[in-house]
Amino acid sequence: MIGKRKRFIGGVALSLVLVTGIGAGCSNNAGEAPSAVENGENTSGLPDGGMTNLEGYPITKEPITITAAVTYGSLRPEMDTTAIWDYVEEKTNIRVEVEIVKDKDKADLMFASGDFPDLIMNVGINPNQMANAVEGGSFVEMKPLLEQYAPTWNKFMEDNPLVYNGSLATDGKLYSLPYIDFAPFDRNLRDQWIIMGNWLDELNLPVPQTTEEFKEALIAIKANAGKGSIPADVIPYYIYFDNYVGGQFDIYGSFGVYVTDPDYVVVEDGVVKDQSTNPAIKEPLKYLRELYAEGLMPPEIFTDDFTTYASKISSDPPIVAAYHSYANRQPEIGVAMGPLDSGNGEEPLLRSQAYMPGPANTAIITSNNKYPVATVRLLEAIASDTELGLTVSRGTKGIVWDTDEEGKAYQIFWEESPEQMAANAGELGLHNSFVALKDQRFYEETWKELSYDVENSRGWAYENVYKDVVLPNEMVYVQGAIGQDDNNLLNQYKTDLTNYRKAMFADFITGKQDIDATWDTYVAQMKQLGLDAFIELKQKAYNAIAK
Amino acid sequence: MSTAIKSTSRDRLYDIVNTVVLLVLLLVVAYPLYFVVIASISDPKLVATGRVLFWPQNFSFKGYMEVVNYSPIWTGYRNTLIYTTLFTLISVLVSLLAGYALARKPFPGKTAITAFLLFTMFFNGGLIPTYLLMREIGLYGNPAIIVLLGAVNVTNIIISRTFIKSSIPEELYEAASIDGCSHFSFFFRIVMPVSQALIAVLVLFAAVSQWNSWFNAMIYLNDEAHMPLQMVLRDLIVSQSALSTASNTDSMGGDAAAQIYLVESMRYAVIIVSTLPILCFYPFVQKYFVKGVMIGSVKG
Amino acid sequence: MDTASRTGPKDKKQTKSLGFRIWQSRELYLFLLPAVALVIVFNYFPMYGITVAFKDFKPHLGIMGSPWAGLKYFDRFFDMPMFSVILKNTLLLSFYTLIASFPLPIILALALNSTPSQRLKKIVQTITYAPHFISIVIIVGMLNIFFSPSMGIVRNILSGLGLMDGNLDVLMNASSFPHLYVWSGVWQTLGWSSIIYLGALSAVDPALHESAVIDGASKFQRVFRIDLPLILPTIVILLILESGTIMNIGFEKVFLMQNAFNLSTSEVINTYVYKVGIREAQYSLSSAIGLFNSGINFILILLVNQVSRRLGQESLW
Repeated sequence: MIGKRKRFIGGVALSLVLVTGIGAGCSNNAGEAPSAVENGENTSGLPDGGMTNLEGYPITKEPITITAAVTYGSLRPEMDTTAIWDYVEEKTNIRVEVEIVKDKDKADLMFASGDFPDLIMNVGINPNQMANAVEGGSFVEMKPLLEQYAPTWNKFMEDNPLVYNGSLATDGKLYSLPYIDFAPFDRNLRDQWIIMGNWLDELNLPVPQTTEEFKEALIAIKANAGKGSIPADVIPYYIYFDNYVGGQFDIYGSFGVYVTDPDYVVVEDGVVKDQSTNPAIKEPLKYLRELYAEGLMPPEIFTDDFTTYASKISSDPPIVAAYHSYANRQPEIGVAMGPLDSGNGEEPLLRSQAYMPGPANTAIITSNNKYPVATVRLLEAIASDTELGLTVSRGTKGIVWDTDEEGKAYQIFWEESPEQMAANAGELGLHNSFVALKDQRFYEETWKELSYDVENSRGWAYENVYKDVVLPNEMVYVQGAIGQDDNNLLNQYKTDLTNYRKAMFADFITGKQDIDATWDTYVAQMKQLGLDAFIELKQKAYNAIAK
Repeated sequence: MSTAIKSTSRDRLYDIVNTVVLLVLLLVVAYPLYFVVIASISDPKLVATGRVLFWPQNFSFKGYMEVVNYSPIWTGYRNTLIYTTLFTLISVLVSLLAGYALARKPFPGKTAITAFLLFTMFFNGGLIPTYLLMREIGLYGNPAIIVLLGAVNVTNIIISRTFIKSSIPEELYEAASIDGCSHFSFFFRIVMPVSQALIAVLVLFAAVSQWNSWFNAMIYLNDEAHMPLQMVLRDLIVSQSALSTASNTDSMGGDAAAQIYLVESMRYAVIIVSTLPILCFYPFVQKYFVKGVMIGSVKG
Repeated sequence: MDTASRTGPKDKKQTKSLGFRIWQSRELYLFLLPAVALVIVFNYFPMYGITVAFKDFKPHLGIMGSPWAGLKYFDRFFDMPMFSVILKNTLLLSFYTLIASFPLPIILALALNSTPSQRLKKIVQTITYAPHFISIVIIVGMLNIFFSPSMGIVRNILSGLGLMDGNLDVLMNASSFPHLYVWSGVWQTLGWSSIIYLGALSAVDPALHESAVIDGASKFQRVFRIDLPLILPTIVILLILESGTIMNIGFEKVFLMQNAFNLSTSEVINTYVYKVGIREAQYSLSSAIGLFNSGINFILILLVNQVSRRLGQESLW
């Protein structure tokens, strides 16, 4: 027996020896990053070794290839083979060879192994990955390139310090360009609040203006279940509990407790303030408790998954009377409802999506790139050349978008028509998976937004219902880059606090715990879990962008 | 005589209890399976809202049509068939050979080799060095990697060892070796035929694991034409994965729900399309369980 | 007699000679070669990656080039405020899973093996095997639909039978989460896990049963005295192997099953690590946690194996 054990230990020891021995032999790794090409100027002194023209088309003298990586998206499955790259090549001499990263794990691997393509499009890079890559000199600094070769982007960044700050890495330098879309109806509003107008009509009720009216309408709808077009198993009010998309947050806003971030914070005069322990939030929570106790919200709001939530609110004929959603799922009968007056003297406001205009880090030039100037000129062309920009962003002209007689561009179809999207998958642009510059000027001069005229579209609803009742931008929390340690700590606090808060709020609403009796314990526990330190970190991240 | 009668009536009771238990189990397991089938031919919104219970609602084959009309699925099927066949072949052979060797009486290094293999069940270098190594030795992007990576399954080796050890006594080999029978001929003439049930189990384990796998393909393959079925199906429904939506809706902004509507009708159909072939494979494996009994009796 | 006494010591001497014994077993080494070679290439070559757990891994420095950090990342893991909670939840869930899902496939296999109806046997086998192929996302989706508090089929049946009224509490209760997790797992794996026992049972010699019948043994007795002992080695080995996977609680299923009510019991190491963002880019911490899990698995398997050996049962080596 002892001999056997010895042999076994010997075997394990052998394994360990092999581990270290082989390890030493296998020490080659991603460490040998190719030497960075400073601003694209090599020994010849010319940009990209003389390959790149300084202005006009084509961008390069000879056809070149740039490799790129982008995350897979099912609405645009053919980002690697889409016809737009032929268009780009024809015009610029640059062939963009896209590799679709199928999974987050593979993107992580790219950052961990340092195995980068020439250009990184939107792959959901996180702050730690960015910091690591920057530290290793894997990315090319963008600002000098913009100053020299990309006047449109450079000017935009100078005019929009918020966007600029939001794009900076922890070392305070710029390594990436964002996707910019200033469409007000998209960014200035998070969820619309939809209520079934035809049911209200059938019951002779107005569209609710106050929290009281809303509750009464829900009660009436429930009481009339099975009558008229109201189904017997109607769900009066349905949310996706505590999720920033589709959650209960606009109830808080109706009571004047503004929450502008999934972490329950709001910005007041540049100071980040926690709302989850603000005593004022007890009032909307009690209101939700009333709705729940009356059976106006089903218990499924806590247990359904997102797919089920999405299916229920989009059912047509409808089964849900009121819900929060990006788009109106029943444009024929659903009515966009404003925030509700609670009568407590506070101004009711809806959430704004955030005034960051789209995903950051959608174009990063890596130090593997032999043609950084050509690449940055391509990025500039996307911003300055309307046709090229819209083709790369939306898709082929004449199929996905077109211009009218006044020369203004308009869309032929949009994300809301998945069938059209699928049918034309080979002609689609990259949307927010790659850079675009659709700023104020673009919407004023170049673009004609057709949806403003389509009743119950999001654009229409924004113009007609929501424009003046959304939270002002100064109050919206936005987050800039903070150091790795801070970031890791922030995530840990966030998880602990979210878990506890979510469980407590669910208990308050279902009545498992009484809110008044437990409130002090709840607040004390939140402090215990690091709420103050968390808010400090949130403030730090806010300062990084709003400086 | 009286004991025989007593035992038959006791046996009857045993049979009745046994049958009832199995029937109840059958019901409990069959209903959710049935649900998957009716859900795959019903309106997905009605499924999610709990209105599909016993019969399909708004019967349609839309989900299936979308899956079947998605052309990469057929290359995916072909690739998966090739990968599964080769992988099963290699994996089962490796497991059997190693299992046989470890089932024999002690020889120098046997315990050390066992430990050497077992160690890998618990400790591994992680994804990064493996990925770098594959790039180094040129297996990245090479379909061979799908067949080779994971071909050694230590659990299966141990199972083979246990099975061979308990069904083929050392004396039998010693008797054979006196007759001049080498390990090789003993393995192919005696062990393989006697271990049909074991081989059936190993084939099933290997085939199913390869059939269901997608991770290695996702990491190590880069050519769409080489992707196995599960990878193709993942592309089809990746955004509907509740996993990705639940964690990303907050940060995604925009219309998080829109992508879900695109693919929700395929959720259940995809399961049936991808599972049916391997389900049909099982009855063939079952046959060998029965055969094993007959060989056992011949041997006895 | 004479020859025997002469060859005796000679044999003994030969078995003692290592070189000869190796030469004698050369075929067996050849049998092991494919497995060992593949394991060396695919498992041991990248094994140096384990050191990431003890280093401040920086991608641009590579694994070997990154500076050593000692036990920093292990300390960081143990110092997490939630460490004891998530460890407790993980262990609870995994031991419960082991206790519930280990014996049942054995019972199913024995029952199937002794059922008089071959047709029933085949149908039950095929049906119980099928859930293994349903993806986790769908399984959890079905759980949510079936156990939906106010309109699920389970609630409807129970209230139809007058056994309850109001909402079904199963999904809204932290204490029922482990049961739901474990028993849905049993449902999914029962048939699949019984296959190996069915395979082992098919090697049982029918002659043993025949002679037992003659001795007047009842069917029940035969199952317990003939079938069970014969598959015992398989059972023991699988139990040992299972005990070495105790920390491998699947991340996906727990994560998808989490809701506001069950977080106090459903937050396990893997889900927490995911939420805190460790998987994303904190490679060293992530490796340290992985190594911690593997270490516990390894220790457990050694312990269980030792116990099994003491009891005179199977052993891994």
